[in-house]
Amino acid sequence: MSKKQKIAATIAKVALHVVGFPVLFLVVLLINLEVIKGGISYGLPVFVSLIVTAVMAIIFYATYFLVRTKKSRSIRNQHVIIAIVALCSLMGLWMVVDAFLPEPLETATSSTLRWEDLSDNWAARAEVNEDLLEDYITLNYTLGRLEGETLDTYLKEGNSNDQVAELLKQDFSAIDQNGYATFVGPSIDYAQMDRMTIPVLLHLLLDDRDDQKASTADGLSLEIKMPVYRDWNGDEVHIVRAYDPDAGNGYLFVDEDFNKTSSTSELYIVKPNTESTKTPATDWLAEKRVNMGPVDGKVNEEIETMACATAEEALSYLTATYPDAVDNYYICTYEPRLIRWTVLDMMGDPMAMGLLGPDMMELDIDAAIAGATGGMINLGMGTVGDMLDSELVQDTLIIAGEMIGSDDLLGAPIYISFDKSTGSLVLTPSNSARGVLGYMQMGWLNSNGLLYVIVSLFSCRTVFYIYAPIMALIAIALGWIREKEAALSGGEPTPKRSLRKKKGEQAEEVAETPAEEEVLLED
Amino acid sequence: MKPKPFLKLQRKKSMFGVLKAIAYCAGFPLLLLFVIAGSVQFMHEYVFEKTWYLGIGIALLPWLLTAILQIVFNRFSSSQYIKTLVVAIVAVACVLGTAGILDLHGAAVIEEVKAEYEDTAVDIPTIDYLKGHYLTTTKYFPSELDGFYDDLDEFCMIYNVGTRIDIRNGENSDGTPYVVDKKTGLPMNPNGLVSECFVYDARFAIDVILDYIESEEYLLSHKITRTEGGEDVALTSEEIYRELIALVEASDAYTTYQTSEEYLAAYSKEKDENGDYVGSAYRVMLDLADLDDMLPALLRHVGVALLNNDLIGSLSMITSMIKLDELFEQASLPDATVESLLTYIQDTFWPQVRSLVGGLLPAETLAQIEGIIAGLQVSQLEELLEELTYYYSPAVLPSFAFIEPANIATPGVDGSYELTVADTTLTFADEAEFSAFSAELKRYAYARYYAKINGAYIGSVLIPNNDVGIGTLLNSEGRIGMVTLNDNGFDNSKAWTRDELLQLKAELSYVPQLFPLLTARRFLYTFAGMVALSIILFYQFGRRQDEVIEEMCALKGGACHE
Repeated sequence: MSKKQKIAATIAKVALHVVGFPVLFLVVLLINLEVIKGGISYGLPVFVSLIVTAVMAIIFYATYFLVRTKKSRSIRNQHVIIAIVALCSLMGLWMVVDAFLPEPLETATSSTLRWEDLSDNWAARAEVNEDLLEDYITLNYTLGRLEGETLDTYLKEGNSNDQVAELLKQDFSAIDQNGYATFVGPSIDYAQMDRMTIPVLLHLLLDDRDDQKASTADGLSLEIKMPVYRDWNGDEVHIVRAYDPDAGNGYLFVDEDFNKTSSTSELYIVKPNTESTKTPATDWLAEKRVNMGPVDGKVNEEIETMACATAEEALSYLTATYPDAVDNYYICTYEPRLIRWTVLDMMGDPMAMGLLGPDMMELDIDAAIAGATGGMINLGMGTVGDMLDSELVQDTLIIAGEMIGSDDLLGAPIYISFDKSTGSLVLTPSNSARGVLGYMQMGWLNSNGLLYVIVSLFSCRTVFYIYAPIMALIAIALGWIREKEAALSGGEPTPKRSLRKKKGEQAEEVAETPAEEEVLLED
Repeated sequence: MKPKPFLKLQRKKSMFGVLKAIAYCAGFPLLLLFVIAGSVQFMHEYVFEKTWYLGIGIALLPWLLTAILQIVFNRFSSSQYIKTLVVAIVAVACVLGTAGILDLHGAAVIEEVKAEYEDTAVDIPTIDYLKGHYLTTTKYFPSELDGFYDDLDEFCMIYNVGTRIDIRNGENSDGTPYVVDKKTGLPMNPNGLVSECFVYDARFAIDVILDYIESEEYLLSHKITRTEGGEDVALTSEEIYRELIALVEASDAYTTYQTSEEYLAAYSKEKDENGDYVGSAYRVMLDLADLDDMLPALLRHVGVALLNNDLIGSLSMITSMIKLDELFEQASLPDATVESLLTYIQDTFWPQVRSLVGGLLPAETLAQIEGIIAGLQVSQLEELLEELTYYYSPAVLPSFAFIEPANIATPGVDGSYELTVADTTLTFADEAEFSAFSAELKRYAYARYYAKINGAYIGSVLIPNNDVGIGTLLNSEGRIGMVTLNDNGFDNSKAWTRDELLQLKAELSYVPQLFPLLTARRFLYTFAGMVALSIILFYQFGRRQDEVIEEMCALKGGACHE
């Protein structure tokens, strides 16, 4: 074999090796860039596709070198084996997954995740995962349940941020163990499968539930961080924006059962800043609110705020600026509370019920009342829609929603509103107020790492299918070069067909070199 | 030097090896492949869930028999010609025999279905027609299978039922478990009713609707009427049922059952220390005790929200004018109950309101409101709540399980039965006649429960339920199917007729079993000749290969190694 031929063979072999797994690795990396960027905070799971590709490469090269140790096997046979291994590992893996995974996947995820959603559209699923975490972090940052960092920092760090990970873990345990797991009977299933009938809703809202648990079996607390207002003495208070006609005040203090205790028209509050900045640090707000009651049917509230770095700073500012605030202020902090969950919290989304209809919303109340009373009363309310849309009615509905959440009613708020265009009654669960997504979304978030494993794995499905025969061809081509090399250097024979060593067939074995031929014929 | 003749023989041997393999694959394996390809279309349809592979199994039979024969012959027969001939003949016989058996089976199945639906308008095609038309071949002529799918899909969509049995959750709302019946696959409660965890499938729903339609027709055929304003007004089936079930519920058998431990565990109205009913069913029903717990708190909350919200100026004027604050105050009392609130409204609140605003309202309206308020009774409220949210305890026999002749009426001295329903007296000549009436009533009762009551719970209303339970309140238009909070189901004009239901029921009884077999049958006939040829060629090429090997051995100058 000449030097030129040797160089050419070496270049060809190197080129084939490069076109093999390195290129496959690069392709997998490229198509996974977005997934990796979106889920980098989950660490290893987003790299599963690359890991699997690397494992396939190891299998390929392990076979490549192992088969060569068996000198009795011809080069062609060696490379046929390598090609078969490449086909089986790259293609076989997916054939097995495609054949056996769809049903178990659907069952294991209660039909929330299907093979069909992942096989070709895995990127969309990855986006859902990414969006879920973003929604969750943004919601909780806005509510003030996440504090100490900027929103960008939380979003960037994602699940790798201890605060986010801990909050998520607590929230999921609460909605799972203290929510979903407490429903008895099939009603919760019917609610989830679009069969939310009135009897189903009644069962879910009113039936006895399994005991509310304070903690899970592994001791994880089911209490979640809820906003709590405490007065200057440290006593817990409940404040609602509602007009007290007796005293002419716009803020009511109520007890746990929503009985009115007192009222005021001025509030001095220290609370987490939902739009805080890192430099200068503005994590807290000092706030003065004044509400003397509605004017012309509209809420008439004045708010003055000052952003401060710490709660102490905010309090100092408040008492220094407003002398009335001394021993007359309220501090909002997030404290763990054991709370109940309703079925609507499980669904997570508002539920619209056709109640009044568009025509009813257009009904002129003033004309109707004037008609019924012979023009004696004119309330100046406008249409039903106008009335339901007014800030004051909205305020009342918010209070009603909170009241529904009191322990002697449903235990979790359900906020009521009306859709002016359709006349539908809209019931909104407490999720967004509590900083928790629906049960299914929380379940996904809680196992987002696993979801990324699945998405990442599926991302290499089509590539592996396409690349399997390419790898097989590369293996064959490498074998062909090696055969040529051997033939030219007079070493390894280059048989036209494989040397089979079947029982009783030794005599048929034929080699192209005269020496081997003779041996066989003598045999 | 290369021994050219030897290499030539070598290539020949390989060629015959390949031809042998091709010849074999062109027979049974190809037949099986076609049957599998033909069966795959059934694979993902729930209705074929347990039958889609039948054709494949059948197609394997002749292959298996032939293979056994080949093994036996290889061992005992040395004559290649006899072997080829016998195996080919047996293979063809097996293939055609299996196809023939499928023909006979298909004909028998169709005959059986035809006999079952003989007196109906159900149209069952002949087996010979089905053989050609079970699958779509030409674009513009839909097959029997397409028609079947269309019907099934439409039925499932209208009634919001599935194409297979779907069971949700492991226990009923009150925690009572069910047992899945091995024969029917349905989850059965201890009381014999199908569990509320069952999402109806098409077969179950068809049976229920048919039961309802037929038993209703039977009940209405007795022309039971009541006299109103001197005219006879026909009773609806629901009214007839209520009249008759009242008799059953008053029977000794049922009243005795109501004192049993089993019954009282679910429906005892004794109260525990919290004031709740002891009966387990009340834990999942909205009852007066629940209202006592919730209503005062709810009103108190509404009071705080309303009275402390100067909504739109004048609204507070109205609320104070009609003394709403006093009502809310009354509701805030720690011992307030629904009963005390009703008494307060009737005795104090309403007279105050009437004196203040009575003059503003037309006399007729005032009288109407007066009547309603005066008529409000706690017991009525309790009955209404029970009617709307009644829970059929899975452990307790429902009253309609006691529908038996003896629990409805007693025979006269001559053995005849006389029964007065509303203003009509029914006469039955003997016990057999009365038993038939009782059986139809019972059939109606069960169908009514599944179609109107449990159907309203799971969101599959099979018969308009505007006269029963929660349907009276929420489905006044009598719609069917998916009547849920965010869907309004279908108008009853979309309901299927008895003939349409019977047609689909008949199709469901033979299509899932027969069509996968027809696929096997079609390819068995198509491949019978091919199988014979493939076997003959297989042996022929085998023989030629053996000859070449002999030649190769001879060339090497000796006998072949064994």
